[in-house]
Amino acid sequence: MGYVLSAEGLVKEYKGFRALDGLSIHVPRGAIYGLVGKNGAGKTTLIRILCALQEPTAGEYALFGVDSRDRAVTRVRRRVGAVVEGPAVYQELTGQETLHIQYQVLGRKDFDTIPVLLEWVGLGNTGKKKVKNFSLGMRQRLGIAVALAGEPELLILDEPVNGLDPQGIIEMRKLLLKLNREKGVTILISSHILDELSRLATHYGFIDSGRMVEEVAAACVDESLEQHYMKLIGGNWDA
Amino acid sequence: MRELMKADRYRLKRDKVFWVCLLALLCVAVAMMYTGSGQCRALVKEGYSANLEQFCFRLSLAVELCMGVFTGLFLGTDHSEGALRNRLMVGHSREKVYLAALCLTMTAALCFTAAWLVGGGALALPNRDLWQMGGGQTALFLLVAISSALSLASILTVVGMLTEKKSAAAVSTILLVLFLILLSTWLHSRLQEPELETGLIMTAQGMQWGEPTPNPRYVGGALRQAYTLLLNVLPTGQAVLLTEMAVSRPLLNIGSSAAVTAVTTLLGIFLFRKKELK
Repeated sequence: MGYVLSAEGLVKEYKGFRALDGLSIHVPRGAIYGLVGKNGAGKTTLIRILCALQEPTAGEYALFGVDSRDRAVTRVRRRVGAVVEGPAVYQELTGQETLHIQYQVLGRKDFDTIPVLLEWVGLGNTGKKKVKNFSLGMRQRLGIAVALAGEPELLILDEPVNGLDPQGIIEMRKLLLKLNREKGVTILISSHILDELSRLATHYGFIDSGRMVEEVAAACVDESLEQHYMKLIGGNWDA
Repeated sequence: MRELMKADRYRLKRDKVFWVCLLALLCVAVAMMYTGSGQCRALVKEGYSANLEQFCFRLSLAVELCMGVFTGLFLGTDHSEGALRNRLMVGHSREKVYLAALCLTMTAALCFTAAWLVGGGALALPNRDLWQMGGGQTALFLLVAISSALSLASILTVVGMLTEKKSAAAVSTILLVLFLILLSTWLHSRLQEPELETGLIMTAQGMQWGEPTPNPRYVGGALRQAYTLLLNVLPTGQAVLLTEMAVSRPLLNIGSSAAVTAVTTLLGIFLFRKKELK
C-alpha cells in the first residue's frame, strides 16, 4: 500500500516524561486520516516531530517513502503543508502579503496565483485588511492557504477547528473535503471533536498515552466514532 | 537561503519599527550635526579650536539602541506568529533559517548606520572646514562603527532566535543592549581615572597645592589590561570609544568584531539546532 507517511516506534521524552511511547502510524495516499485522542495523548507531539520542529528520542518515520534521517527528506518536505498550533500568519500584514512571503520562502515566483489561492480558501475579498483584523475563522483559512502555497500532496492539520464557531467549522469541513476530492490532497487531521471528525475522515488512528491503540478505515467502524473511541480508550461515562 | 533572504527583505520593507528607527536616527543625526556645526562655528569665531567629528560619532550608541529595539521585535514576531515554523516545515535547514535571520539583522544594522551617516553627512559636507580628522582616520572610525554594529547584530540574533515569545525577545534584546552600554560606560569611566590625584585642596585661605597622592580608584596592572581589552572587544565598548573620540586601536576593534560575529554565529547555530520548537 502507498503510504505518504509512516512511522515506527516513535519515542519522545521530555525530562523523564514520555510523550510518545513507541508510536507507529501509517497514512494511506488520498486518505483523510483522523488522529483521535484526548488532551495529552501525544497528537501534537507527533505532529511536531513529523513537521521537523522537534527530533524524536527514538524510532523512525518516512515521508513519501523517504526516511527522515536521509538528506533527501528536505526536498520531500516541499510536498508537505502544515498548520501546527494555530495559523502561522503575520498579524501586521495583509493576507496577500503573508502569502507573498510564503511563496518567496518556497521559491515560487508566480505571485499572480495568490489571489486565486485566497479565493479558493474563501478570502478573495480581504483586500488590504490586515490579518490582526481577521476573525479567527479567517485566520485559520489563511493558515491553510499558507500551508497550500507549496501545492502540497500531504496536509497536516493540528486541531484546525478549535475556537471556530459552527459556521466556521462547516466552512473548514467543506474546504478540506474540496481539497481531498478535487486536488487529491492527503490530509492528516488531529482533533478531539469526534462528531466533526466522523464527517470528514476516511481513516482513524486512536492514540492514548503516546501509543497508537488502533488504526482502522472509517468504513470498518460499525458503531459511532464516539462509541468506538470509548470502547478502545475506556472511561466510565454513560452516553 | 536566497529564498529566505528575499522573504525577509520583503517583510523588512513593511516593518513599522524598522522605519521608525531609521527615521529617528536620520532626524537625530541631522539635529545633532546642525547643533554641532553651530557650536563649532561659535567656538571658532571666539578663537578656539573645534571639530565637527565629535558630534558625528556620538550617534554610534543610538544605532546600537535601535538594534536592540528592532531585533527582538522582528525575530520575536517570526517565532511567536509561527513564521519560523513555516520555514522549517517546508524543508529549510536550521542553519539556513538562522543565517538568513542573521543576514536580516545585519542588513538592518547597516541601514541604521547608513541613516546616521546620511543624516550626519548631509550637514557635515557643507561644514567640512570644521572637520579636523584626516580621511584615512575617518575611514577607520567608520569601519569600526560598521563592524561593531554588525557584531552587535550577531549577538542579538542569538537572543532573538532562541526566545519564543515576542515580548520576551524584545525585552531581552533591549535589556541586553542597555546592560552592555552601561558596562561599557562604566569600564571607560574607570579607565579614565588618573593615577594620581592632583593634590589641589580647598582651605579657608583658598586653593592650595599639596603633594599628588595615589588615586584609590585608579585601575592598574592586569585589571587595566583586562578592562581595556573588554572595552575594545565589546560592540558597545567600541561605540563608547567612538562617542568619546578615543578609538586608539581600530584594527583590534575591527578584528575583534569579526571574531565576536564568528563565535556568536557558531554558538547561535549550535543552540538553534538543539532547540525544540512548538
